[in-house]
Amino acid sequence: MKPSRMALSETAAGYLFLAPFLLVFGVFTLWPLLVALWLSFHSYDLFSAPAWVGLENYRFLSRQGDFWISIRNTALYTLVVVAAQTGLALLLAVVLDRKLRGRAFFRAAFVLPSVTSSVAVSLIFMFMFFRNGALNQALAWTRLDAVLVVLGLASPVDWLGDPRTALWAIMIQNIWSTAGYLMIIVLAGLQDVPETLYEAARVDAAGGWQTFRYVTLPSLKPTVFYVVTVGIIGSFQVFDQIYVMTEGGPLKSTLTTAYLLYKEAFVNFNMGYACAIAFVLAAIIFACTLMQRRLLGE
Amino acid sequence: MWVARRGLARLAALACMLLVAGCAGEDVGSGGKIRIRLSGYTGNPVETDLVSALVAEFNRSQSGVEVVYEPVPGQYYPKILTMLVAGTAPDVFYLDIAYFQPFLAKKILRPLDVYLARSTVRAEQFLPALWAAFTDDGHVYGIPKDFNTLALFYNKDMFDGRNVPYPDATWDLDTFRVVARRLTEAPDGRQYGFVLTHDDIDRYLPIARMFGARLFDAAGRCVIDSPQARQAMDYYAGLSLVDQTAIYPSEVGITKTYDVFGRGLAAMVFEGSWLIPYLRQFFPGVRYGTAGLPAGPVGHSNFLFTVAYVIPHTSRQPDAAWALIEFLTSETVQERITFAVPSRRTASERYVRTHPEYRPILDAAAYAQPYEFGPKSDRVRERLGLMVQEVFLRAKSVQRALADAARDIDQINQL
Repeated sequence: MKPSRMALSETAAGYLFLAPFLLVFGVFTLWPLLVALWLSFHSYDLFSAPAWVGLENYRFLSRQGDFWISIRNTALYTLVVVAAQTGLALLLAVVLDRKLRGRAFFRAAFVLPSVTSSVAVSLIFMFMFFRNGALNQALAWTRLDAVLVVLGLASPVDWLGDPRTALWAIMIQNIWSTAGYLMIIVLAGLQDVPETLYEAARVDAAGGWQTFRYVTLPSLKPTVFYVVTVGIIGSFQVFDQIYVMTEGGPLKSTLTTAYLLYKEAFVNFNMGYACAIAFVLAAIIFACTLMQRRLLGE
Repeated sequence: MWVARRGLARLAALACMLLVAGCAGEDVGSGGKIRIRLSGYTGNPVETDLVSALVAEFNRSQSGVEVVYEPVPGQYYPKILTMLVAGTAPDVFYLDIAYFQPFLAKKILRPLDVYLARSTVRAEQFLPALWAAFTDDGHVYGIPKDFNTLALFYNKDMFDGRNVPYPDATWDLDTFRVVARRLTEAPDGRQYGFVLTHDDIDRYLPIARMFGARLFDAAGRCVIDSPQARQAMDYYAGLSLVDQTAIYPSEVGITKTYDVFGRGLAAMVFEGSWLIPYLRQFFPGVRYGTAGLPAGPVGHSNFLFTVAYVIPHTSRQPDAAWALIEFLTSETVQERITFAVPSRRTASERYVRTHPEYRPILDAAAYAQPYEFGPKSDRVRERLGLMVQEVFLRAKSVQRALADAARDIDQINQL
């Protein structure tokens, strides 16, 4: 059956209303994406016309040492940061969901790092991570520096200057600055958990841990899924802290894929190759998100 | 419907007008003058102030040209390159010698021979090494504005405190090493002989040449793994790893070598004359002297850091751009430079007579090598920096680090 005239005009009106968004999306998102995909099959330095190289950029990427170093660093970074910041966000949210004295103050204090400029925070952390910086002083004062010696690090550690510790130092900074923001999201999720479920748990004589494990956590699943997804995407794209604090060094120990991409695109002007890196990075993020969806049963 | 269509047509007409106005307005300044743009980086506020004042003077003296000065803070070369691609690059801009070959390879630069032929600017008026630095295949592409080389800066109080005579022309690398040991207060580490950064090729490569090493051979192959280069690395890294007389800034909670020297934590540092205004501003109390870099087994070496004014092919007003360059590199303007050594012979001589602390910088220009690394300058320098770091962080043996770097640099240059 042919669609009626009415239905057709309704469809047209629908697209008309969508048009402003579609225009902006098309010009500023879809079109650049397609051009980037096209460029990833070319050799292009911006100055001469793009030259078709087929899959060469992808082949080069698969055998370039720097790319694999960056993937290894990014994977480690993502694993540690996402796990730690999600755990910390959950913990803080559960604690601050209770009726504590000074709750508003703590909520604000934990969110504060995420609204501070990451460049400013990175600069402050740089000073804290120096050999004679606050972190080493605190470790010495609490006698925790003995742990470093056990780990084979000579105390005091030059956190950003030692290839064994530089990435971990950046992880610490990132966990500190994002956990507060994620806490707010989890807190919102917590307040959505129906009170009746807790009442039912109390009736069944469930303890604190059991209530958390069997009531709170399952109810928070969509929130945790969101927090983990945002965390994974953010971690895969980590750039500003690296740019300010270490520039990928020392000895490429903090070279992440996003930083490598920036260097190839805007320092070496290898646009085609940089686009290839961008698509591989996007594919990895996509695969991780899909995997996580399966795992969390979303 | 008709009303809406008319409104849309008006909107489109307005957009076209704005577009046309935007395009046409670019080259035309106030009062119908030709407008050109000048860009440079902003590392030194003294320089930015001087260039602003000079541009204002130039604008007053010209009836037909108006210059807009657009200093670029931060990432200068990515910005200039992006502007060049977008067709919005300035008509005149600073070009560091390290970027001369890469810019030449991308055919960005306009040869200045035509303008030189009808001007009073002559090669003989400039220091020969500087003029040669921006000349390729007989064509001149840039007029050097000023330059620097490395000098040995020393803290007089720390030398006096240990009764060590000040550095002089008789110093060689062995003397330097012995003195660095004497000036280091171990083990509390509150005073070191020397300060360096552990990824620094600007100091290692001159030392390598003092040992007789070269970066590239005549065929362009990287030969930084030569026995002489290894000896030089043993010496340079030995200052930190063996003698422990040299320190990195981060070890004392500081980001810059300048501050380590200024605060009296290290007695000596190899820096260019950029350190002089810095010390004047932030550490006016420090009593320091300057001397030439010590000589190595095969003699002296140094780096020539220089910057030129260039005109890109994209400039639509090259004549006006040249007039600006002529003014900015004229004898009278050169005499007003206070942050580096002027590039003109007479101005530079006069300058060091009144500012003797700059003398070693000028003297080294006679034998210093331009700070250039070929068309893939950024990648080559980055790889060399990694090589130095590998040695200093004990990630590889000297031999392995240098051999790997030579192999990678040949690959970067596709040899």
